[in-house]
Amino acid sequence: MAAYPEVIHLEIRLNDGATTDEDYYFAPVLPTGAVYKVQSAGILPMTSVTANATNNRVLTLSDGTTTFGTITTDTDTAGYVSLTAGTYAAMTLSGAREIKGGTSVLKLASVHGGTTTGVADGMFVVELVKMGA
Amino acid sequence: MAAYPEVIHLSVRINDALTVDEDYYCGAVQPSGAVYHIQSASFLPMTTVTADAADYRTLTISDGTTTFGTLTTESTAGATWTAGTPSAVTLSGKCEIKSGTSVIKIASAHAGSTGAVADGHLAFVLVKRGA
Repeated sequence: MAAYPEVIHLEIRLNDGATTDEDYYFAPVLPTGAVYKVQSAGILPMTSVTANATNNRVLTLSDGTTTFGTITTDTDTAGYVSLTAGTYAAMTLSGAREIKGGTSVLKLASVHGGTTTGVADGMFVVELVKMGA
Repeated sequence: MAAYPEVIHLSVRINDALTVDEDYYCGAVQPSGAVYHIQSASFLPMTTVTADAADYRTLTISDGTTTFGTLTTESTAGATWTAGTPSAVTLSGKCEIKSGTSVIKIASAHAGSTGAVADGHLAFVLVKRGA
């Protein structure tokens, strides 16, 4: 079997309206036993979202159980950001955030607040780094 | 030119409503003469589709001519797709993709009118055979 790459880039399209939530599941196909770590993740928005206490968007990356990181435009939450179309916004990550071949997936929960401006429109990017095989 | 990687990962969003069919085309930008083969493919649904004899969804992977593999929720030939759980595609043949001449085609086709959506990401592993 050919060696699996040291780094895998994944990119998925987010397209949720101001009142729409979605759970995005995605993952690379990895051999059983392979372990990758989410080294970095973030969104490249196609629509700007101004931080707001009511009308906002929260993106949460996990393996379906353990949270790896969050991006929020909710001004009531520490670390909030405004999203600017065309400007990359990095997700603050924590923990081991490992993905294992054959057992793990990535889940991005996209949740809105309010009814007007809290869209999720853009490309969500994840960089995985090989930890073991 | 830097050597192209031994392994390329692709992920394609599939998103078809109940009675909608679509042909998705994808591929990797490769150097002239490069040959990759699809080593594995797996569909990771975002919406659960229960296996059924009449209302089902089939994904067919090919190069536009030769079928590489299929995945279906037709109850005799396939199984239920569960949101968040990968379903591996059984591949057969060489499954080769050649630079400049080949693409990967994913035909998403429905049967019936209830329940059989295609909503998720189809992931591929391409492995280099030559350059």
